[in-house]
Amino acid sequence: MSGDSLSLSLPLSRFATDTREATTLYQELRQPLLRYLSGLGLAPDEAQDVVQDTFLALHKHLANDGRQSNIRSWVFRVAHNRARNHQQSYAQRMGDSLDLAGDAASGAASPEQIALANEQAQRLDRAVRSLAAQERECLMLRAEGLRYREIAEVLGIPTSTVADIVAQTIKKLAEKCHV
Amino acid sequence: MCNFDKYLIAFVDGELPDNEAAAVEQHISACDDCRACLASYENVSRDFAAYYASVAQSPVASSDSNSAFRWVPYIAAAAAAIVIALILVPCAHQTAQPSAQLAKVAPPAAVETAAATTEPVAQTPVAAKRRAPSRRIPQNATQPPSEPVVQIVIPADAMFPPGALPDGVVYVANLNYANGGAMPGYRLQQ
Repeated sequence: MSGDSLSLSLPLSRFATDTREATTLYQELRQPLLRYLSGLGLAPDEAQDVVQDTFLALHKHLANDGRQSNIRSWVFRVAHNRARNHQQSYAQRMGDSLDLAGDAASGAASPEQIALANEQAQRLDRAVRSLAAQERECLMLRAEGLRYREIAEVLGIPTSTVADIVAQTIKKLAEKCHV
Repeated sequence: MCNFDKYLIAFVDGELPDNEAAAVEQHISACDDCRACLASYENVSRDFAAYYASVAQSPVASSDSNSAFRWVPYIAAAAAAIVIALILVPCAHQTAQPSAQLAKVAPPAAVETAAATTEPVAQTPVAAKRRAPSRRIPQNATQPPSEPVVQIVIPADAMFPPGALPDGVVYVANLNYANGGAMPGYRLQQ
């Protein structure tokens, strides 16, 4: 570390604030990010790596005076793009990690209810697996509570396209699962 | 299927403008088909959310909560620095001596470095020129006089997540800013 001119005007209080903000964001978004990355098909260690890389990027972003109106969508977008670097495993496992069939019936009381829950879960599972990657990504981000505008930022597509994808995908699942 | 069907999911998601949402709400109160569709969309949305949430129960999401701090590399570096500082700082206090070879300069009020505050020592003009005025100076800092440094007291809880540092311990960060405000280095001490 060396440097003759010392830039005290660089707001240290802001640095501390940003560090605290980044820590808070990490605590809030780590689980949703891991969930999303798992949904994308990343292996556990890959998902952990992507989350850490993402928050390192966030730290640098904040330290370099980077501002973003919506940090949540920024974080998801970075994680999403970094997940693409694991394209091989992503393509292989996409759809395999979302597996609820064995768990769906656990809360049911009678054998009939268990059988029905299993059947519904398997139907939903088949329907989800049949979706296109972007359709599934939209639904996962929606399930994480992101607004259409945020989903659009994450996926790099227009907000109107997100609205169309969500609408047609929900209708598709409804037709396959609740007929 | 009536024309309102295409708005139902955006309506469920609260994505419609207020006036359109009001129109949809008014319509579904009178349209059995749209009410049934709305219920179906809500059901499948809930089912997908539960399906998706099952991923959270995987070992990925629930594993190793300690990794929560791994993403901040300087925390690990700072922790190591703390250990080193706790070992070395007492030694530095014992061995530090004012240098008789240094020229007299302005009093510490003008050049506020930690080294200048503890002893009425002299500093080289070069060293003095290389120092920028600092705002808050720790009383027990041990930065070598020849190294340009800004020493600023930072509450530990402003730098670290809760629980990252031992209770009751206050640390001081010595920050060396490079030209252009590059990432500072930290040396923490008790």
